[in-house]
Amino acid sequence: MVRLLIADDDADLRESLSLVFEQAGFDVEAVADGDQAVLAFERRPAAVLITDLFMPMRDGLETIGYFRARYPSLPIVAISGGGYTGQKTDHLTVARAAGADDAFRKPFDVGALVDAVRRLAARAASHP
Amino acid sequence: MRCAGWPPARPRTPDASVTLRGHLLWLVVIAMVPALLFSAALIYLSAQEREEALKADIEGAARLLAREVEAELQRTTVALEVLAVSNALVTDDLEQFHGLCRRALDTHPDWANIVVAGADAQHLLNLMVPYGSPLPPLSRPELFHETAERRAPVISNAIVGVLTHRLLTVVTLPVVRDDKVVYILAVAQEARNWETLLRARLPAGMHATLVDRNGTVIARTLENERFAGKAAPSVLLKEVARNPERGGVAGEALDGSIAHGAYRQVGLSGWTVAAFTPIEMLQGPPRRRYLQLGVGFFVLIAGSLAVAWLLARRIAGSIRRLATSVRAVGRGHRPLRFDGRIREVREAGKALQDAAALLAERLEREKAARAGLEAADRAKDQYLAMLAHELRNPLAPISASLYILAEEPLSSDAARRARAVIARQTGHLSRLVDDLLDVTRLASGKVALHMQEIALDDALRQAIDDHRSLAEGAGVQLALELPSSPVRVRGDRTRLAQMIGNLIQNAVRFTPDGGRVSVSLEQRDSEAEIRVRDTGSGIEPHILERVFEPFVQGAQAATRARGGLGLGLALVKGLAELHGGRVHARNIGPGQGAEFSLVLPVLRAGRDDGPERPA
Repeated sequence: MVRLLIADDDADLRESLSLVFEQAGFDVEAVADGDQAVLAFERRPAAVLITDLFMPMRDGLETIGYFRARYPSLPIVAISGGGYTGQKTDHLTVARAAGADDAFRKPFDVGALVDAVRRLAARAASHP
Repeated sequence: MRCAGWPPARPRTPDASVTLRGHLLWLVVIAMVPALLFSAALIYLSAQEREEALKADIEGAARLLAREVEAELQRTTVALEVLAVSNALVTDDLEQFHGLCRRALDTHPDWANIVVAGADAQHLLNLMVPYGSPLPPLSRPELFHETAERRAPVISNAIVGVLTHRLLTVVTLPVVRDDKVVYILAVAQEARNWETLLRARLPAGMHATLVDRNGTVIARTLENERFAGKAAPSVLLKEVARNPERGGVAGEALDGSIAHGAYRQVGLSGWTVAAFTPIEMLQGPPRRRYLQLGVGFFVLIAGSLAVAWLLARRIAGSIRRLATSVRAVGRGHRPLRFDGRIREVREAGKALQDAAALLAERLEREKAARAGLEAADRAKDQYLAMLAHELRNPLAPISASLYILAEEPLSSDAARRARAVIARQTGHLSRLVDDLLDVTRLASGKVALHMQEIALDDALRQAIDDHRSLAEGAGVQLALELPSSPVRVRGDRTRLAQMIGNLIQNAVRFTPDGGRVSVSLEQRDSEAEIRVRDTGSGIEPHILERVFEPFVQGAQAATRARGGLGLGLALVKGLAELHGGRVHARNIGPGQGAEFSLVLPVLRAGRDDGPERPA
């Protein structure tokens, strides 16, 4: 089973995404922030990382930077409530620049997210 | 430089404005012209008066001179009569009479000669010729014939002496014995003696002419040598011919000058004496006055115009400075200081400064108000962005849960968990929307309270129970401390629960895992104070003073997915005030957490009425 690590401080989103990806056949572990994500990954590495951009402790961008530096081939998907209106730079654009492979604005098309994660997992599997 | 335009105001031409200087200059001219006319009229009247007086003087002089000449002629006649009755003549001793006449000539220096003739005008005696010498015939026998015929003294016209070649006048006297003319005595007087006589009696500034019956000048006080023996001026002779007795005359004198005079006939002789004065004497002084007036007026008006010009320049300068100052104020600069000498302009300057100060103050206030509004506007924009974020956040788990429900059988554990997520998130969403609506209602004063008596102890216990699961989920311990006696207030049960709940939720949210939130109740006099303390990191100072304003949140909240809308405390404040109470927030100490107080008026024991309605 492909292992998926989800980092989001919203318990209900963690819960619902876990259900979605378990149903899609992934081995899912969901944590509340970036620090926990680092610990969980070090304990048991995952094939794909989904991370929120706004979290307490280590925030999303830091988390992306951390993983991108240590695991250059790890597929990372950023999710976010999206930039505040009127803000000059879209956070998702920033996330891509920071190294995320894909980015989704909440509320996202869950099917598209599942497809994206599957595609990234397959790519990671073909280029270990 | 534009000096003046007159008339200064044409009402129908809208832009016929005239400078201040123009107005002042015209003021001077308008004030001076009547003065000039008045002065001229005075001069004219006084000249008239003077002319009348002078004419009277001239007339008087003519009368006086006529009398003097007549008296002199009378004296001469009398002197001749004295000679006529002398012993020598009575005894026909002509030699002795010659000697007597010699002495008479000595005593009358004005006499030129004495002649004695017979009744038929034979030349008997001539004082110019020694006695006994042969005598030529009389040069003017007609004079003697006339005297003999008239048997009365005769006074001649001006004649030129045969021996002396000088201009003379002659007085003759017939000597009558037994009704027969025996001798005729004649005295010749030098015409220039008359000049002396005229001159002695003449008032200053006048001249006189003595004219004989033929119109020949006998003597004259002006240039006698030149004009004696010549014809008198024709204007005079014409007047005399018309009215021999007396009259006035004006015209060209012998020397060509224009003169004004009066004449009188001299008694005994039929001569005319005229007194006159050059026309200059009459018209000169008034003309000089007019000239002086003109020059004076010119100097005065020039001086006044100069003063008016300077005054106008000063006033206009002040007003121009004032205008500059007003323009400066218009451009937002400070006005100039006014220390000129025109009080009104100074006052206007002072008023302008006051107005400018007021304006600056208002601008400052307005700027501050605008800055406040802009800050509020920015805060609102940020808040709207945050609001969109917060309202959108629950949609992600809901849509993910719906995905599960579509894939999984409804009875499965996953479907049950997905439904629970949807229920929680829709609840959260509706709370957000409720808060938003409440704040809007509070702002527009549309919150209706259902007031009733409430025991705060019970309300607090209930609130603690309601939030126990929330606190446990956050790893926060909830504590309640109540007084021994119950505390009762009047309030809306639901809203009171909302206020307490919001304070507790706020405290739990900012308290880290393992922390503690303690709620206490205390009654002081007529007030009940509910305190909610947490063990979080406290409130940032710049947030503390605005913590009860809507849309304000600590930085930490913004990074939390469940940050809420930042409306909870604003709702507490608005509702507390609706209950006649107040709220307060403070930091307990650095890093020791925050304390929020809700103070409400107490309902006194045994009374159902609120404290706001004393019996």
